[in-house]
Amino acid sequence: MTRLPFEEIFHTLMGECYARRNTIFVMFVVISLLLLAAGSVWPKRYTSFAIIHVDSTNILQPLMQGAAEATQAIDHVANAREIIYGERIMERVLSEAGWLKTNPSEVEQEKIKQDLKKNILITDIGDSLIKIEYRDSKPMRAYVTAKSLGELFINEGERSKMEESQAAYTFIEKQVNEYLTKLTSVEEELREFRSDNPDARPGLESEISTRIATLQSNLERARLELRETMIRRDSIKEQLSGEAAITISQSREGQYRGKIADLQAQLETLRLDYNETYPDIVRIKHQIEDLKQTMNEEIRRRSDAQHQAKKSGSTYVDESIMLNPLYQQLRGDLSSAETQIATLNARIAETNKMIDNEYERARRIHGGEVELTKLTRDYQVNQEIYQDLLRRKENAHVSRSLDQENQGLTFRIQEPAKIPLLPTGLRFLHFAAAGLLLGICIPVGLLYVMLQIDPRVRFAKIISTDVGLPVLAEISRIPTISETQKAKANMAIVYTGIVMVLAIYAIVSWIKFTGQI
Amino acid sequence: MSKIEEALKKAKASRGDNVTSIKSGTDLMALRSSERALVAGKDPSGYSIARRESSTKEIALMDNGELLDQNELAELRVIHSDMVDSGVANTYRDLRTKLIQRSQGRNFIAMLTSCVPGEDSSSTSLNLATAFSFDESKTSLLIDCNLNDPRLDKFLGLEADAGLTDYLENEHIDIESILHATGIKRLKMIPAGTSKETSTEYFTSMRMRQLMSSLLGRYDDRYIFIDAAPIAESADTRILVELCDFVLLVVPYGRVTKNRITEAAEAIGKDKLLGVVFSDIPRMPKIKLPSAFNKIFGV
Repeated sequence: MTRLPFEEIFHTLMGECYARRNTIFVMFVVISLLLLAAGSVWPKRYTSFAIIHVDSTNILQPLMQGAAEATQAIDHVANAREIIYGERIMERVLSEAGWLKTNPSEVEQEKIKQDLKKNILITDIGDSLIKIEYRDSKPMRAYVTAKSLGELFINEGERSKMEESQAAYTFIEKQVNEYLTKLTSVEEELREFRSDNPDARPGLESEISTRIATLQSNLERARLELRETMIRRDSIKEQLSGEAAITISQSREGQYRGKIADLQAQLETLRLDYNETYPDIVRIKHQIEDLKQTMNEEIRRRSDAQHQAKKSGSTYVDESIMLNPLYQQLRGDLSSAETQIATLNARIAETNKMIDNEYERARRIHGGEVELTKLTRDYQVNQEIYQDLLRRKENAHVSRSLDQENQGLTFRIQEPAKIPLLPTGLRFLHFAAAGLLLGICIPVGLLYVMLQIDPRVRFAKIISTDVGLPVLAEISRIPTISETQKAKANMAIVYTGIVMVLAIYAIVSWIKFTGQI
Repeated sequence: MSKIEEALKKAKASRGDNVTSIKSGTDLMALRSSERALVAGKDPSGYSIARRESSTKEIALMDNGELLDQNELAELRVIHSDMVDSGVANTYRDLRTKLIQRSQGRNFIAMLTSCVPGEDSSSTSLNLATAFSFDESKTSLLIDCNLNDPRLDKFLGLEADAGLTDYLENEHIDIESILHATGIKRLKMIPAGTSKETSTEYFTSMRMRQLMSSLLGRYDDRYIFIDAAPIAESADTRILVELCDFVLLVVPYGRVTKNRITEAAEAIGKDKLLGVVFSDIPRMPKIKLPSAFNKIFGV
């Protein structure tokens, strides 16, 4: 769509206006006179308002901080509306603002209340400020009603606040008492339990567990040691079976024979090289002789000993026979191992017994500890809440006292109601101005809309840009003389009509402002 | 045989030039300058001042019939030089200047056709022809080729008389007998005629081509304007496009969509379409202030 210059649109619009002047004129007359008539009968409205500051803090909120969650978003306007539209305030407004002077019936009073509610406007203007607005056709009544509404709202607010603080105190006190009862009850239960279960103390179960674990560990160690000892005993037994109890050492006779044999061998060797007279040979011979003699003496001594033993009837022990020391050692070890096995078996039996005892004890105390924990926890929680509530109760007491002495006042009139001097809302002047303005703007606007949405070409620029054809000339409509004359006559009528409308405006305005209607 | 052909023969015989006879519409335009020269008996390049003077004299002696006064013209929605609101007349003068510039000073045949039925093209062609006739050295000829709905004679209040179709049907009728005075100085017209049957055949005939050639060639200061039926609805108009030098498309204000304009432009073709005349625009008349007001404020 081609963007048309304002000047071209304006000229085309003016041309269309001229071409449709009669329609536009009729619309102008109708709209302007209708609005003038509406403005004439439109009632004057006087508005009076009072601005009230409302403290946004709720008395319960700081008191119950942390203990209970209070509603954060406080809709002052909704609260105010609820209070003001309440039957109590409505009744009082009727009497205070002079609505009951004519002694209306119940039904009429109800209707007056409905009208009052319609004309009351309560708005939140920020910073905890509420604007209570009342509209009426009479300025004095508007003022009195708005003033009454403001004052009654504050009174009602104060009263409800007092009630609220009292209710808060009562509530907290009730809670304190409830918790005191609970606390006493839990305390008593705890005491009874302690007397029933003297060894019940926190952590006993874990202590028993540790003890059982230690005993189990000891038992395992003893069993291991027992197995080791038994293996050692079996091993000693095996060794012992392969060992002789006595050993036989070499006899002196044998020793002499050996030495003689050695010397004999030396003698034989020397005889290969030397004669029998060689000194060494002679010496060896002597030595052999000596040895033989000694050996014979030994043999003889032994046989004598044997005879001697036989005669005396005693046991003859050959001197070469002696006890085996290893055998003796093994026998000792075996005995020691047997002793240790017996000891360990005894220890294992004892440990098992102890473990069983501990298990039995654990079973006994288990139920008791759960009960104790519960009782202790209940006691602690109740105690904490009770103490907290006690503190809050004191605060609530102070708050109630403040409210009772009006020290904690949270409502105050920020701006009192005033007598309205000028009417508000739509007035005659607005209607009159709107009548003239809309009388022109509506038909011209409709024409403009038609220019925008009608697809038929009314602008040369559209032909040159959208269609792409050069426009050689833009030729205006040529009126005939008779048409010109008719148009002049027509325009005279239009001008006269406009002047008449303006005259009607002037007359009605004059009457209106001089107060004749 | 037309006068042009006679003139061509005479010229050929006297000068021995190899002049091609008029056979088709396509070479008609190409021959126009030669024809003019030959009809005048002179070389085209030496278009003399003497010829122009004689032409002016001829124009001065032209039979204009009973002239219409300003009121009568105004009643017919025809421009005149003494109009109170000279804006429209000046617009037509500007258009005239553009067309003369386009034709480089030579006379031409311009066809005006509208996008929709109505008197837009008739009114615009009459006023454009009138604007050309403002110039004392120029004449204009208006031919009503809208055979189905002829308006120009009614527009000018002429009685139904011999016109274009009569000339094309009857060989005994000469051009002079179908040229009618309009009551406007230096503006003549050929009405549609009394017979309106098989119109398409008329415009494709050789006699039609000869007529156009003759009308154009006789006076080189004669500008011919054809008022044709709306192009989108008439086969005649499409044929007439071939016979004219260029076409002006008349678009009436607030009555046609862009698509209709595009369709009409496509039917005319790019070669012949000179542009658009946007007509019948409603304007708010200038408020005539009292003379005392003008004196005081120096307006």
